[in-house]
Amino acid sequence: MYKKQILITETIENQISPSYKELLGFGASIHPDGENRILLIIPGQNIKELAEQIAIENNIHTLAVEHEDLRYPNPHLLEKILPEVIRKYMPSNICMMHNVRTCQIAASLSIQIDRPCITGVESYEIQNERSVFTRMMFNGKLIGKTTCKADQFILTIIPGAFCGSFTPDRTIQHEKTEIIKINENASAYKPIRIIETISKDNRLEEADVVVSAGMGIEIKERIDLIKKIASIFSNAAIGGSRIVCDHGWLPYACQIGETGKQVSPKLYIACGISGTMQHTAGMKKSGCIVAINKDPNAPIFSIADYGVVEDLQSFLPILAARYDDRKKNP
Amino acid sequence: MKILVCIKQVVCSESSLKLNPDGKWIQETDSTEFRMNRFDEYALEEALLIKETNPNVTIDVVSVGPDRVKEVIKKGLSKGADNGVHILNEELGYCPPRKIAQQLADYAGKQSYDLILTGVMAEDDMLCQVGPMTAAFLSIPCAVSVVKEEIDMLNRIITVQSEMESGKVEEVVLSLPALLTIQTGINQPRYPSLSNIVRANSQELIVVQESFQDDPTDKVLLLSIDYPAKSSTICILEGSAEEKAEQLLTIFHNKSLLK
Ligand SMILES: Cc1cc2nc3c(=O)[nH]c(=O)nc-3n(C[C@H](O)[C@H](O)[C@H](O)COP(=O)(O)OP(=O)(O)OC[C@H]3O[C@@H](n4cnc5c(N)ncnc54)[C@H](O)[C@@H]3O)c2cc1C
Repeated sequence: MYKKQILITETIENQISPSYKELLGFGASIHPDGENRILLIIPGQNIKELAEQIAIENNIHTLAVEHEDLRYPNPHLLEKILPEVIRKYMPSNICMMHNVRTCQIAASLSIQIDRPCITGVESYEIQNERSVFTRMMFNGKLIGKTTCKADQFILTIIPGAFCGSFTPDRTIQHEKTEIIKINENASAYKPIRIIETISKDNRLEEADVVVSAGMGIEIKERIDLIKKIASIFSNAAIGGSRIVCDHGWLPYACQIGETGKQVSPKLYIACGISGTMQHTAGMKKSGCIVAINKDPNAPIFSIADYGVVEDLQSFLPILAARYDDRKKNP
Repeated sequence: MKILVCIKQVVCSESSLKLNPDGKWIQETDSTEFRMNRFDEYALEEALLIKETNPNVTIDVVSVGPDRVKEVIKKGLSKGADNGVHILNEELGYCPPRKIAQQLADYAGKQSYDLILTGVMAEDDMLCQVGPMTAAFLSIPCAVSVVKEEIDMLNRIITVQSEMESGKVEEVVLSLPALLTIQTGINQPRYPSLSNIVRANSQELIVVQESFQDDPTDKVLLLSIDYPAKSSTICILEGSAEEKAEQLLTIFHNKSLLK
């Protein structure tokens, strides 16, 4: 018996998000004992050709959903269109890559079609014939295992959590593209434009070392300590968590994470950063991660290579002083 | 104009979290510290800023939960909200977002709010679901992760900037009534004022008994919670602070990264 999976991807101005490949990989793996039939929904303004191309490349069934207002991801419009599609295909799961908008779609669909919804899934396993999903809770300090009696879920999947690649099944022909054109005049939610706010300054991306400040620095003045540590390296830049930038302690151009910059330096030093997935999305590919945090249970330690459990206020001056000593007496 | 701000009381995750013996939720003792969900602080501040620049705005803050959540509602009043609403839900431990959203929508549906604000995410369950679910129950438009808003009461629309990944924002126009989930950085939350603290201490809260709901058979269950495993390859440096500093410098030196 095969199971049907509906996967929904995002497009911006008819460009598909590259993460759809990861989504396909997840969709193919979720029902490991049997075969999965995949329907990939691609919403967009003018997306039919792309949908056809992806159907052929991957030998899957794609559905292009077209509307002028779908040139940007448009959760509001999708929430209206999708229930009918879902009723028609009766999938066992509906999956999207995780971000705030896909969470919105997942949550709203969950109410409309009365299906359980689990957002931010990092891994899953089968326990007593039930799917059990693991996800972060309490700012990453704990992980929770979630399940549900029903066996049909709406899921959002954390990018990078499932690496299983997708190999097109060539034994049967699945490849097919359908198209739905929506005429609905959606006036309650009108997308206007996309604005790029990120600075073009590439210093962070080009640095060998990124020294990053989190709320553990406690006061603005301690940014100077971070700068001092950065100055011991030959090519370092300063980064920060979102909250530090929100406080105006560092400019937003320094923000690392899902909604900031993604960096992968040779060395990333996280100073007083808790390490929620929104932050680690921007730095987990770094060559070497050093975490300095006074809380031995801070989630940053689950991705760090070296851990230092210390208070920054006392530790950073010691580190700087020891460096100066070495310079003077090599 | 009536604004509802939905706020959640969460445990201070900076402190050390202990698990219940059954491993299903965190231990709540008399010394457990709670605070307002960080993102909701920004939602409340945005409502207060709207009130400062528009005539005839009233702000209600609402929280669903057991008796202890009164504290966070009072905190909302002490920052300047007009009324505090407590939807009593005695269930301790994990409460699925669907249930919270249903309670909020049942209450809000009777009050004709022009704008409903929530934080983009609760720091405890990290699901980002209550806002959009509440909007779905009420059939009103919703924009998530809002970092800027501008109301046009005459035309009953609100223009918002909804944050995307990697430094992009999308500008969207919503018709009112609408629900926004607010992201940090939109403003700088204020501290309570003395006069409002005095008022908050004496002001009665509106207490609403939770509306009856059938538990859906397909309710999402939290089976267990646990500490995340440390990275299997992590090296935790040992010794005095000075020794740890030396070890770090040696690591940096061996990577040829030092000046
Ligand atoms: C949709 C969305 C997008 C987001 N995007 C991003 C993003 O792009 N980037 C980002 O960073 N965040 C982002 N966030 C926010 C993220 O969830 C966290 O709230 C944020 O990263 C926490 O910042 P922090 O670690 O500096 O602060 P906290 O969570 O407050 O952590 C502070 C840490 O410092 C430690 N500490 C405290 N005092 C000391 C001391 N004296 N010495 C040593 N250690 C100390 C504590 O133990 C703690 O671990 C986003 C959130 C959402 C909902």
